[in-house]
This record gives sequence, structure tokens and C-alpha cells, in this order.
Amino acid sequence: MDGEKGKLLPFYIVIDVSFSMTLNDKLDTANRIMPTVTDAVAQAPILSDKVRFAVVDFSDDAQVRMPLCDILEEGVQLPALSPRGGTSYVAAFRMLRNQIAQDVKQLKADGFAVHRPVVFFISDGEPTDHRADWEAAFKDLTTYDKGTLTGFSMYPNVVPCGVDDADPTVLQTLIHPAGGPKPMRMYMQDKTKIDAGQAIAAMAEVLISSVLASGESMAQGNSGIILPPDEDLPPGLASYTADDDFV
Amino acid sequence: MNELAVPRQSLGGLGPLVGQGGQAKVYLAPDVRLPDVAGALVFKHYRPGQAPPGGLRALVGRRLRMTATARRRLDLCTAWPVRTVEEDGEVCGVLMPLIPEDFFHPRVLPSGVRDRALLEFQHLFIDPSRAGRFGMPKPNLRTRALFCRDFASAMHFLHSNELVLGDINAKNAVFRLTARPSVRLIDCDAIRVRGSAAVVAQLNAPDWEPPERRLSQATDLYKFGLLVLRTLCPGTGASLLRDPAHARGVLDGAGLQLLSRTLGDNPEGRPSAKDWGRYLDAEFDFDRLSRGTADGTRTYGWVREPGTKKWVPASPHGV
Repeated sequence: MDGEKGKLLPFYIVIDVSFSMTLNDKLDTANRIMPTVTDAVAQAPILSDKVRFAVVDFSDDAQVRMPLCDILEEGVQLPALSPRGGTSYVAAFRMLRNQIAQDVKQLKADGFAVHRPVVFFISDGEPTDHRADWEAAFKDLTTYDKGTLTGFSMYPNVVPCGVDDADPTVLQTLIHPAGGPKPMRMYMQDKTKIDAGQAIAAMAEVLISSVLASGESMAQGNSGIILPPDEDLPPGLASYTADDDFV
Repeated sequence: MNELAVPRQSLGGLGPLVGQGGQAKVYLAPDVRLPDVAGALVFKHYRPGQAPPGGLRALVGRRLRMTATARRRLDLCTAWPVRTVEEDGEVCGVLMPLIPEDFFHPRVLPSGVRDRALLEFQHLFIDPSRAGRFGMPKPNLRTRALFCRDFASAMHFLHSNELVLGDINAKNAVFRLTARPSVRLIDCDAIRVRGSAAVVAQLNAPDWEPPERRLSQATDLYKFGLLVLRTLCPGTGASLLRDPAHARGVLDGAGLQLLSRTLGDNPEGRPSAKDWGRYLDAEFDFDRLSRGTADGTRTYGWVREPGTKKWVPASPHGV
């Protein structure tokens, strides 16, 4: 009943812009994600009282290409992503940790309550950094110990999405939380059915379904993100839990 | 089968899909005509396992037992289920009147794509300049008050007929500007007859929760108060407003008091739909509203003339 300012759900759309993303229309399709999301929010415009969006791209480094915002605000510039360099997951995870901490503090200072942020992480390849390094960076982003109050209390829910050469066993380790009452999922391109560009468009559909469902269901006490049921997924997209095996 | 139900095969060929949700798909039913329904019909086909367990017939029967005048009134203010559709002895859907075209509006999405939007109340809650950017209407305060007035009238009619709306929210009421500003309640299968269980479990939409747990005509009134507040005070965050104080400067003292009691915790203290109708008809200071409308938005529709109480065309300068 209280808190008329509401509780916001921040979505971070994190997109790999390594050079390989220029193949198979991947980057062109990725560039259409935010216009499509914006149209979907415009069709249900009170969602703007509930959700915020940011776009981060990463290659050898990571950059905030669209700072967290109300996507229907006049003058919001949707970014045009262009390719550069390799695939550093470390850069992406470190940037996210800093940015999320900063954004959540800002929203709270502005009087909003904040749902746990959500990261849609879209990549087409394996990380170019050492495994131990990106694992450590991911741990910094997602680990929090309520008992000792150590770690990152604003850790996000992470939904990895893979196309082309992305290794499902690598991306699967990025599903967060992997278990518990509300586990996240991973979405992968089914290469026998659709190409990578189509898969990214399908992932945008999943994102939009999640935005709409989360926005409509967020009542007091609800924890925010809702992913669409598997039976409603666009064709050509495979959904996995953290426990699924790959043969 | 009986007069409340029609067999699935009697619908003939279905027209295009006009809407869908988690529970059902809605198709035009161009071959079906009913003597008691004025216009075109749609077939709401429940997804397997999603058909309400029972009670739809009671809603259909309620309408058919009304006098012709009352039924016309019901059809004007709701998209009421007019027949159940049955297959193999089971209800698989309902026939409902098609929502008239003037409840839709052309829209331009941010990407430039043009589409056709159902004029749900949510479009009244957002910042009018934002609605304008998408080509959506920006009704002025006077017109907004007339929507509230028409909603109160519809609710009074339903409450007088022993019905409980249950779920009032930003998406299940629609408005139109082309005729006298009016509203229509859609998704009526959550409405229940007072003293009976609902066909579909009555739920609170997020941000529409009343203070008490059990949904009743009193919670309808509370939710109507939220709708009035959010409709009269549009802007960023308006879809979440609950404090009647936001309506200061929009409602006069009597209106503010009415709204405060409507949004109060005491269900017995809430003014009735009729009280609201009376206030919006007679006491609402339309002149003050028109003076307060500085954005140059065109005044649509009709208003009550204070002296005669007759409906007259609205003018930007008040009646």
C-alpha cells in the first residue's frame, strides 16, 4: 500500500560485440532488440512505472551504451552497436558490478524501491580471458552472504543467451541463481532450426515476454523477474536449467 | 443444449484472430447472429484446460433474464458473455459482442510502426504528452471526469443487479471519445453474482489491491477510487497512486472528501457508485476544470448542462 513511487525492475541487456558478431546478421539483429522492446513497452505504457532498461556492450572492454532509463522518456537514444575486438567476460562482469551498484543506489536515493536487477547476457562465442579470471569476476558479481553481509548484495539474476559458437557448458555456469525457489534459465540457439540472427530475435521475444509478465505480476512482496514458460518460447530456441546435461 | 448455449459447430467459419491471452483466443464469428445482440460477435475459445469450471451459464442467464432495456444497458457498458459455446457437452468458450471500432485508436509506436490500440484506461494514466507522442488521445480533465462518471454509472447498474466486478484494473476497462465519452468493461468473466462464487477466481491486479482481503462491492468502490485518482491525475507514476491528496487542485472539497472516503480502510464508509454519479453530475465544477486545462487539448464529447441536467455538446470554454 505504501511506496507510491513503486518498485522498479532494472533490466540490463548485455551484448557481445566481438568481431564474430558481424556474421549472420547477429549484430544487426542485436541492434533491433531495443527498438522492439521500446515498442512493446509503448503498447503497455504503464510498464514505465515498473521497469528500467540499460544496454551494455562488451568486447575487450565493456561500455554502458544506454544508461539505465525509462525507455519511453523523450530523448532516450537507443544505441547503435558496432563490433570491436575479442570476448572478455571479465570486462562485462566487472562493468556490470560497478554499474548495478551505482544505479541501484541512485534509484534508492530517488525514492524508489528496487527489485533485484536482471541481466540478459547475449554472446556468440567463448570468452577470450582465462577461465579462472572470468569465473572470479562472475563470482564477484553474483555472490552475497547474508550471514556475514559480505559480497555484492545487489547481485543480479542472470539469464545467459547463446548463439553460434557460444559454448553451452560455459554459459550454463552463468545461470544465476542456478537453484532455489526461482532459478533462472539459459536460452540457446537450436542450430538445426534457426540461424543466429533469428535466434537473437527470438531471445528479444523472450526478453519482452519477461518484461510484460514481470511488469504485470509485480505486486508487493513479489521478487520481480518472471521468465516465460518453455511451451511459450519462440521456435528454434532451447531452454536449459543449470542442471541440464549436454551430450 | 438450451437457450443459454450454442453448439460449437453452429458457429460456422470463424474470422480472424482478434486477441489472445494465456486463457483464451478470441476470433471474429461473422456467421453468427443473435436476436438479442445488436452487432457482430466474437468467439472466446478457452485454451484446453482453461475453461472456467462453471458459472458462465449463470452470467449468460443473468443477462437473458433482464428486461430488454436493462439488457441494452448491460451491453452498452460491458462486453458481457451472451452465450456459452459447448462441444461434447462441455463449455469450450463464449460468444461476446465485438468491441466497437470507436474504442480503438491509431497509434505510432516509437519505431515508427503504426498499429491500432485498444483504448484501455492505462492510456489515461500516463503523462498526456507521452500519450501524444504515440498519437494517442490526450483527453482534458473534463473528459476524464466524464469517463469516471460513466464508469460510476456502469458500476451502479451492475451493483444494483447484485453483481460484483471484482477485478478493476488499468486494462479491463476501455474508453471512447467519438460519441459521448463513455467506458466499457471488458473481460467480464471475473464478474460474479453477489452471494455466489466467481466463474474465474477474482483476483487483485498488482497495484489495485484493496485494504481488505475479500472482494465485494465495497472493494469495487475502492478500486473505482484508484481509477478516479489515476485518471484525473495522469503522469509518471500515476498508475501507482493511492493518496487522495494528489487530487487537490483537481477535485473540490466535496470531491476530495468523497475520494478520501472511497480510498479509506472502512468498507462501510465508502460512498456508493450512485453517490459518485450524483457528485460528478451535479457538483463537479466543470468550469474550474476547463480553466485548469492549459494544454489546449480539444474538448471531446458531451457534458451535463448545470441548469437543465441535459447532455449538451462540450465546448472548450465550458457549458
